Amino acid sequence: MTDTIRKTSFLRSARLEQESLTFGVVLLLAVALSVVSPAFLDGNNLASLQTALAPNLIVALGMMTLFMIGRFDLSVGAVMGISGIASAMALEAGMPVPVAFLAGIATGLLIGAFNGLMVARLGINHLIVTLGVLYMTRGVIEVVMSGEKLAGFTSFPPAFNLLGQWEVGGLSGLFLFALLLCIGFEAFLRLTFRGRSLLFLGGNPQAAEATGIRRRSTEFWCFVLSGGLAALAGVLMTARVGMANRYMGEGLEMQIFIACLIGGGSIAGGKGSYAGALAGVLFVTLLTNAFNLLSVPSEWQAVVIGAVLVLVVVVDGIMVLRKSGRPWSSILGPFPNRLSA
Amino acid sequence: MMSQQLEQITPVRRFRFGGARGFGSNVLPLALVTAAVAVFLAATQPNFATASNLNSVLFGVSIEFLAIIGFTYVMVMREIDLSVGSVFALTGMLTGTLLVADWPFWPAALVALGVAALIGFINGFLVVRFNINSLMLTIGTMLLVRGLANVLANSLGGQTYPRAFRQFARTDLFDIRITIVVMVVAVLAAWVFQRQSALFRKMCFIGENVRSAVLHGIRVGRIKILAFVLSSVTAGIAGIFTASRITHADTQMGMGLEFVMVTAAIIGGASLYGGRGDLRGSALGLLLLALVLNGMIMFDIEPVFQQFVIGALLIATVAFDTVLNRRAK
Repeated sequence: MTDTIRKTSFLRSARLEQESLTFGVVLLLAVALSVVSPAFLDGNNLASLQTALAPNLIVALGMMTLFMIGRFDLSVGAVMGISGIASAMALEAGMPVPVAFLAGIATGLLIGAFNGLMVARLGINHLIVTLGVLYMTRGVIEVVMSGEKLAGFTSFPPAFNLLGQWEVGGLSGLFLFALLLCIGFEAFLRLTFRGRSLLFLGGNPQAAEATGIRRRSTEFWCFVLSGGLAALAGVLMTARVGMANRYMGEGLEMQIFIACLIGGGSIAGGKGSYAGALAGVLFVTLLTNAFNLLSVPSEWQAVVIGAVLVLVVVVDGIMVLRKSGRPWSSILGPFPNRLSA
Repeated sequence: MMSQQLEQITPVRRFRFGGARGFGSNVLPLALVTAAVAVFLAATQPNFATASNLNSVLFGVSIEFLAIIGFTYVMVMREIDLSVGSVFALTGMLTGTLLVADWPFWPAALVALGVAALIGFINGFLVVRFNINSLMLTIGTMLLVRGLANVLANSLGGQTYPRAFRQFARTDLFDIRITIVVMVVAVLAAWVFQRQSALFRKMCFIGENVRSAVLHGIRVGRIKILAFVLSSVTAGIAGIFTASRITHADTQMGMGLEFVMVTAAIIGGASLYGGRGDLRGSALGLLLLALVLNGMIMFDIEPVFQQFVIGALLIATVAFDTVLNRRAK
């Protein structure tokens, strides 16, 4: 009788199975990279890795929150770009640094609120809304920047640049900040009722609403959060690289999207953790770094990213089918069960 | 006896084509709106009603129309194919690349269309077999295929295609561009197809309720894969015409085409929630969008603003679709 009571492993009970798998892959990738390319462990490369990781992680925290409730936001890349530009324009107009910082964040919050309003109040498909907003925002960026040089705004007061360039013990301050933020979010997710209710809402919306969780307002605030975090990443990156141009954040949404899927999120909702977001972002950033170190042409990078996305979506689909109790033979065999098509 | 049977059938038809059902499901109002926009532009802008301007607008619409044929029918079944823009670019560039490598035209075009069909089959197969959300999957194939198209574009390095191919899109039939003739014929054929064929009714049924369609013995998987293949192939044909029209490999080719298609299809009566769609409406939707963009150029509105307008129109039409769809239920 004793063998029927099996102790669940820690990873399973903490729901960190896929996250730990991704961490394992990341470690393997890192080891492989350091063997293949000696430049990987170079100080410069490690520093640039940290700079690349920090904004991606900040954006991924917002995206992962949306993934948990079964939504996503494709406008994050454009929001990052436009909030950096908003800060830069505020500085150009002679405003003090804190005001410029807030101007950037407010832009992101506003766009997030628009997304949230459209999705939560009007009930429009979130993909279409955020895609439309992506287009509109990129259009606005083009209009705003049409008179500027290709490099965009470049002269900032040193106090603003310091926002992105401070360091603690040789580590990039931005990177540490993003890590702290990630730990804070993870604690929120695991220790508070609101955090748990996010996963509940994504896993079973009807049941969650029946127990009194307010779906619409949660959705709305999650979109606002995602917009705000994307703006934060955008402003900090603008401060870090010292310029705001039309190219910032282009194609970022897909990278973050893939990172969240790989890190344990599911487009169906009800799954995911912020530790997973960290693992996914590490994976995607290392992959991009590997492309650069091995000097893979950029068009092949798009091919690989697309292939990874297809693979992840297919695996996600298979996992969902498994969860609904279909045997492997029916999923992969030559004669799938037609009734569940 | 005959007339009795006919009377029994008519109410069903009226239910589908009666016009009161949803945004744009009646083509006539949309045609009136399009005509009104055209009349407005003609009245305010002397450059609009010239033969060359009208011809170039129609030519552009007719090429995009080729790509929307399959796309509309994919949407009828509550799926979506966002890879059309990339497939469009890849097929055109692949044809161009093969022609630059001294292939004859027809084999080159057929190989390129074969590749397009393969991509469509992969899309459809994965969606059907693993029950994947087609939005997600086709975003992945969109990136992947776009990357492949850019590989080809870079290998061509801005080379122009052979002269014979550049002339191809300018082929005339009865003194009109052949694609415009094809568009008119296809719209008429679609009219018949949507009225008469059981296949279209099955597609609508699948879009309304997949489970019930499966239980009634409709081969859902087969029809869906067929539609995805059709969508890729028609996008590919449009891509070949476009490649011939723009005469060289351009990495911007077909960028954002998929969102123009979604917007046009929804304006034309399709719905993200499936079960509806009309190729005649989609054609009018494309024409309306083309007229609006053409009008913006006439009124000297900054071209970079077009992106904004397309995004706003996308959200507006989908919002309309969603609100009306909710009311219908």
